[in-house]
Amino acid sequence: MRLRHFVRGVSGYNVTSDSAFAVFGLPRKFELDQSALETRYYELSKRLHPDRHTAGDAQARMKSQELSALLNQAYLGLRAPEARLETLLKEAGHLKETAQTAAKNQIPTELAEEYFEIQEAVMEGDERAPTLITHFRAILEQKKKALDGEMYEKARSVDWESPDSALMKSNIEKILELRREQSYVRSMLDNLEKLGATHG
Amino acid sequence: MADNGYFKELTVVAAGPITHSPTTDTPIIGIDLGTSNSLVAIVELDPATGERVPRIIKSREGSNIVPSVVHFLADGTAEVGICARKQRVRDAEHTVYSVKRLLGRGAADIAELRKNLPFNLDESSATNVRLQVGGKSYTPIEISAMILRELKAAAEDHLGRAVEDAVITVPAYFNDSQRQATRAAGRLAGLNVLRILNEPTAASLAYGLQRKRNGLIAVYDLGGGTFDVSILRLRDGIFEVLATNGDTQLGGDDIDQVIASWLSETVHATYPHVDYSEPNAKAMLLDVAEGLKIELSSGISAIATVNEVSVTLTRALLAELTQPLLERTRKPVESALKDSGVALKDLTDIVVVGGPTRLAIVRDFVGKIFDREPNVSMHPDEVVACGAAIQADILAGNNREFLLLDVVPLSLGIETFGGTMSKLVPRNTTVPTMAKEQFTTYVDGQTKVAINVFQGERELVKDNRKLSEFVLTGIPPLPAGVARVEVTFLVDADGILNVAAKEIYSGVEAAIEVKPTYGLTDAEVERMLEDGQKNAESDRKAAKLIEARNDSRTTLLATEKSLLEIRATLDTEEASTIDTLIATLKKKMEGEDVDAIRIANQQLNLGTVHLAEVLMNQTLEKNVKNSRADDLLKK
Repeated sequence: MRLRHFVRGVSGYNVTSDSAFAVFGLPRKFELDQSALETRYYELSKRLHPDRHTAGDAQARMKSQELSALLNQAYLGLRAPEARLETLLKEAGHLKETAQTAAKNQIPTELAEEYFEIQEAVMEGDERAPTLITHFRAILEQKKKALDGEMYEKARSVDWESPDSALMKSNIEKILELRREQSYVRSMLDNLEKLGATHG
Repeated sequence: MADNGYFKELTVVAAGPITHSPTTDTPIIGIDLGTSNSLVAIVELDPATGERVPRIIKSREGSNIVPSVVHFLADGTAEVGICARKQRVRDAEHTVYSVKRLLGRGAADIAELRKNLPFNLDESSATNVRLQVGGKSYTPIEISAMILRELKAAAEDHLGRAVEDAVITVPAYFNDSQRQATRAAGRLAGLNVLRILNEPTAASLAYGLQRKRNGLIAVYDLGGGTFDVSILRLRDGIFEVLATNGDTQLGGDDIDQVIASWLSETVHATYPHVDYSEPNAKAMLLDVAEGLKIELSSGISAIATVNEVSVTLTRALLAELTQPLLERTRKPVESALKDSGVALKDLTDIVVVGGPTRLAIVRDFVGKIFDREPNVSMHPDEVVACGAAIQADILAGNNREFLLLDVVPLSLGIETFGGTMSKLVPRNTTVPTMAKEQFTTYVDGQTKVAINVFQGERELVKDNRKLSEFVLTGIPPLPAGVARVEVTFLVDADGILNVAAKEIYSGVEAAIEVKPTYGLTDAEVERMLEDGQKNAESDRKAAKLIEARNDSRTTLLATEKSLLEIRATLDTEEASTIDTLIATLKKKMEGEDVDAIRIANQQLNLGTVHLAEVLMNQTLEKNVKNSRADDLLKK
């Protein structure tokens, strides 16, 4: 009843839904109408945000904080393609492993070797270190971009409304594999950043 | 306190009420509580245009700006504003300023800062900084409350009615402790703080109101003591903060400091014996430094005399001296842009805010960072207060067009195994936001779990800011690992963390004890508030006593004078009655019973009505005679 009071006059949205897509009344797909998402987010924000409920009683004000928080989380989960893919995988029940264990699973050896070489160069105060870091960073960024593209392409082909068919399962499996590889590239980029900051 | 349901515990013990409701039908003011200067503003209807526009309320000293300076008089009373600022050099020992830099901070945080402070700190507490002034010690919260009280009084004078509700701005990069300390100061000043608002966001509101346009804007806000940068998207009345970054220990104050130390070195070359470590001398140097800085905001060189040595500071030298400081703003700008996902070239507006951005050297630097000229159309000192007033108007329900969506500036997390930080709310997440985390027990029958909450971006908690320690109690005794306590972390629209907990297995709501690491607990604020009210009451009482005694003294003087003149014409009974009344009043005046003094005074007044009539008649007669004499003379 309280919720209805908050979103009176808005249809097709369900702020308390477990699915971020249902929160905005959007189909569960990787491809998404960015401007429709934004418009709906702003529309709902104008209704739910605590700033619009200062005159209500304590309970109504608390409710607006909670509903606003749910709305913001759902928006965050859909706005960027990276987060959107994460949300799709999570809602399909495929994200049980953490990023850390994933990184341990899949270490592309050729990248690791190059990283350790740079690390050594930095430690020894080799003057080529900054150049090496810049060069390797470019390689990693490129790799990350390529992995993103591959993942998003697969994500577009998955029917996320019924992800349990054999074909879909294999597609999702492939996405998860790419994701593991990417999380390694990402943590390497982080480390490179730190290496550059502390010794560069 | 009102029941907020699930978050009941925390609203009592943790961070105060999550949301506040405006006191019905009273005006809501917007306050910019600045490091150097503070301002108060309100949105009023412009009868000429029919539009609601923010206006700065003049201080009781008649200025738009209230210097954030407090001077303590010998009797312990405090004066705030321009008059206090004048004492900075004359009576440095009893004058405090820039306390915003100490708000919500511990002794360890300000070790670096302390060297430059011309006032004394009480270092008995490691987590709460206190200022030592005239044998008394004050928390920065109390000092801030004095400034806020002055602003509140100015607003009340201007509006002719009581003011209770306020929006107070803080640097966007203020952490949880600093926000809570600001809110506590407001509370202590007798204000109902409806919202803690980020300064650059406030500035964007004022800018947005003036421009009425959509776009991607960057706000570069260099204040007296803090630096913020925010990237916002403006679309159809929605002000969405995409990312924010900053440095809460960088501002115009630091520019004064580098000029002051340059001055001291320059003078030292001529007079090596001059000592600038003494508070008055330090304050004097800062004053001269500030003067030079202001002169150089438009001029290309400025001259000052320090200890009879004439010094010349050129804009080029100032640029050189401040280069390292300004350079420190570059990284936050880059980080904010990166986090926002906005490319530099896509920004539509660069807005500069804060007093120091008046300096040509600062504007030049901003131009370099953003690769284009910044927009300088906004009044750098007033724009934040105006924005606060606009937000107040939104909260009052008068502005349904605008809505702010702000973010949490620094990641929030908890300590996990090995002292690592497990992030629950990443920085730049839109608020309000919620995160849930499950905790379990390690020992059979364990009924308590301690959770340490931190804020910051580093991987190890020791490098981040400890906010508080939560102890979950009342967990049902179960075998190890069976109990599951679900803790909900909610960051409210003020950017302040609230916590609630529930044991899932039994459904028992675990109680939470919160020990804030810095600043004051709500209970402490309440106690200070009560003390304050008691003090105010006793102050009022003392004032009334003085007033009653003064009134009585006037009556006594008049009566005694009259008696001296006309005692002979009075009958003895009347004379002795008056003598008794005088004696009674004199006796009562020695006591402290205000009412008794007043009654005795009134009785004397009544008892001398006849005396007064006699005296009046005599005077009249005399005057008539004189006037007759005048008439005769004229004829």
